[in-house]
Amino acid sequence: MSHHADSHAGHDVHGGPKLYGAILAGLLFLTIVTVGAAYVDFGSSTINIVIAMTIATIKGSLVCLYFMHLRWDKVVNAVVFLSSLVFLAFFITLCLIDVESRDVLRPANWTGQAPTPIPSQVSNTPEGIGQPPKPLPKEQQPATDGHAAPPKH
Amino acid sequence: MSQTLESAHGHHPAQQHHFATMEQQFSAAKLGMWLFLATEILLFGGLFVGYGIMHNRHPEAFVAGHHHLQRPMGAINTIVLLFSSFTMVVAVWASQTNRKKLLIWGLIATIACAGIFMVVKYFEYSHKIHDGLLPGKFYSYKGPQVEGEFMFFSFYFMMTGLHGFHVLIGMIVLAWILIRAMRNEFSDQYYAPVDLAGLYWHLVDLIWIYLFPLLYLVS
Repeated sequence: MSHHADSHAGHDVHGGPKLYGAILAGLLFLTIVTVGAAYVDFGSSTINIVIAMTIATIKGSLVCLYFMHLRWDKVVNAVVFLSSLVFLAFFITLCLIDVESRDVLRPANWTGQAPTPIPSQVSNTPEGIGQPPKPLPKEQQPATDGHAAPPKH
Repeated sequence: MSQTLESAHGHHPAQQHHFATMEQQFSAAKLGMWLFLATEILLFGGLFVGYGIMHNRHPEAFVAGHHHLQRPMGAINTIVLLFSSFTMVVAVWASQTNRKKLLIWGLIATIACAGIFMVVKYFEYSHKIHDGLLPGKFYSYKGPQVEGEFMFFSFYFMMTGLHGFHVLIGMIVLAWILIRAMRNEFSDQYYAPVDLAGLYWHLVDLIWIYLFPLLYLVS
C-alpha cells in the first residue's frame, strides 16, 4: 500500500470558513427577503407562493452546492439527489392534476350547460356493484320474438 | 495527524477489508448516504403533496390557521438552523484539515443550535396545545375560526413533528460524532463519519427552508 503522505483520502479539500461564511450571509439575506415578500401583496396568492418557493429553491441550491459539497463532488451523488427531486415533482404535479380536475373536467369550449348523466350499464348501488343491470319494466322491454329475457347459459 | 495512521496491517485501521482503498470506501459510503437522503426527500414528499392539495382546495383555512403561528419564532428557528449548517460545514472542513479543536467546537455549536431549535419548538407546541390547536380529532379550539381550519394544524404538526424528530436524531448522531472526535478518531485520512453526519444535518436544514415559508408565511 502506498503511503498517503499529503492526499486527503483521495479527496481534495474545497471551500473553507471564508466561503462558507459568505454563503451563510447570502442565506440569511434571502431569509429576510422571504419574510419581507410575505408582507407584500403581489396581486394573487399564487404569485406570492411562487416567489416564496423560488427564494426557498435558491437557498436550497446554495445549501446543496456549497454546504453539501455537490459543486465539487462526484456527479453520481448529484444525479441520485436530483432524481429524487424529479420524482417528487412528478408526485406533486400528477396528484394535483388528478385531484383538481375531478368533477370539473370539461372541454375547453364548454358553455355552461350541465351534461345529462349517462345511464350506467353496470349497477353502482352498494348492493349490486358489478352486477348486470336489472331488467327493464315489462312495457319497456324490446319485443324479441316473445322472449322476455335473453336465455341464460 | 493520527498516531495510528498505518497499523502493522499495512493500511489505515478504519479501512474495511472489502474495500481496496480508503478512497473507494469513502465514495461508497457517500453514495449510500445520498441514496438515504433521496428516500428522506420522498418521505417528506408525501406530506408536501398533501399540503399542496389541501392548500389548493381550502386556501382560506390555511391563511386563517397560519395566523396562530408566531412568525418571529419561525424566523429565529430559520436563522438558528442556517447558522448550525454553517458550523457543521466548518466542522467537516476542520476534520479534513486536521484542526481538531475547531472540529470539536464546530460540533458543539451545531448541537447547541439544534438544542435552541428544539426549545423554541417546545414553546410553540405548548402554546398550540394550550389553545387546543391540535391535529385532526384532537382539535378543540373554540375561538373565531373558519371551516376546515383544523386541517392546517394537522399539516403543521405532522410536518414540523417529522422534521423535529429528524433534528432530535441529528443531535444524537452529532453527539456520537463529537465523542469520536474527542477520542481523536478522525484525521485528514479518515473523516467520512463527520462528512456523512454533516450531509444529514444539511438535509434537515434544507427541509426547514421549505417548511418555514409554507407554514409561517402563507398569504
